[in-house]
Amino acid sequence: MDHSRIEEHNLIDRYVRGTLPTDERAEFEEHFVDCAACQEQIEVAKSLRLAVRESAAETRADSRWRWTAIAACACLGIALAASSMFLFERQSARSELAILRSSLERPPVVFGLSLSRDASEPRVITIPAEPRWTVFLAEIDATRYSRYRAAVVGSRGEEIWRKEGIEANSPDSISVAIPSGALRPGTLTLVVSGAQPNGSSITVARFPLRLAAGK
Amino acid sequence: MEVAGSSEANLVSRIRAGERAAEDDLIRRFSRGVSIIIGQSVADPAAAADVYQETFRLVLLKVRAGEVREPERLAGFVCGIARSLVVEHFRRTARLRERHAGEPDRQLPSPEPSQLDQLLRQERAILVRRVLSELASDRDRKILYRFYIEDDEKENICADLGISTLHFNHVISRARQRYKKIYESMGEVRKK
Repeated sequence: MDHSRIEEHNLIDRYVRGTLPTDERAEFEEHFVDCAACQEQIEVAKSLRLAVRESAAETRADSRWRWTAIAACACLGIALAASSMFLFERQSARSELAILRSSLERPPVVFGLSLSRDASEPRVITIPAEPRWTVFLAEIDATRYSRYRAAVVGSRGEEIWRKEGIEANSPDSISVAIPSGALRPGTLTLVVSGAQPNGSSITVARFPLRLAAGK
Repeated sequence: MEVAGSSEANLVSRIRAGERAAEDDLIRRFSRGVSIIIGQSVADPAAAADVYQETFRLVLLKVRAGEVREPERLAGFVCGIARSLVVEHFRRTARLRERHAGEPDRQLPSPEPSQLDQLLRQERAILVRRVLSELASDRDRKILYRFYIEDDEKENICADLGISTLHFNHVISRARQRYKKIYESMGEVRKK
């Protein structure tokens, strides 16, 4: 099978979409299983297709949200007090969304945390100056619970940020993604707990952090 | 230059001769392709990893035992095993589903995407927004939407929008190349 035929018959995209007839699919697989160029094209086509679909779904959801908001405003015109409350919340949701969106424009910063290295001495971390995701890859025994809870706690024990229902990436780690805006300079602790079926949680790791403001 | 078929036959004979490095070569050579074939049908990453492991275990077992009838078509042999194991996986899953049907207290995995999935999704969204903004016209964006979202056939899109298949191929291939380039440049930023 040569590449001009693959391009001419659009085999890459037809394969990704699952519309190739069985014999043609088998023939193409036999070719690309040993062809790095085609493998790369397939992976890019797959990822692009997924991204376009996700982007369209997001746009549709935004549009649905807009119409829902318009309808809600019309109803809330009857009850003015309630509407002002609603608009306030909507405004705050929008500003949160704006911060989140701007944090997505930049690649995340990732820190690995290990129980043997980072559980006794505070790990020094610089908070990114511009909004972006800060991801902590915490090495723990992640086989004991199906869901985990992560919280960032201040020096006086006050909870600054929390996320429930985190699933393990692998038997020995979980990833905790925190928007940098939720972090502040000072000594904080990332507390990881295992969620029990009765709703309570048991602390499985504490990682002290010394956060400095980024320039 | 070595012809693909003869290099495949050579690999088979090296494995049959007991050369361990040749087994590593086989896995390296077909690893990514086999992952794609399995991933095309098996969505669950853990199940896909199992099928992948089993594919290479079986391939090596059969090559060592001299069960490859056409060594020069080793690629086809590897694909065949991967495909039959994918089918076997679905049969097994269907049997399990039947066996456990009606059991109310089974723990089902959460359909919620993990945080890493969410990050990857957000990253893809940024990439595709950039690719779409770089397309020359609304018509080109329409091509991409109809092809990737509505799963319209190339011929229908070309007929409806009055464009040649050459233009269609150009838009799709350019979008793919830009997507890849931006993705790679984001990877570079991450490395720094």
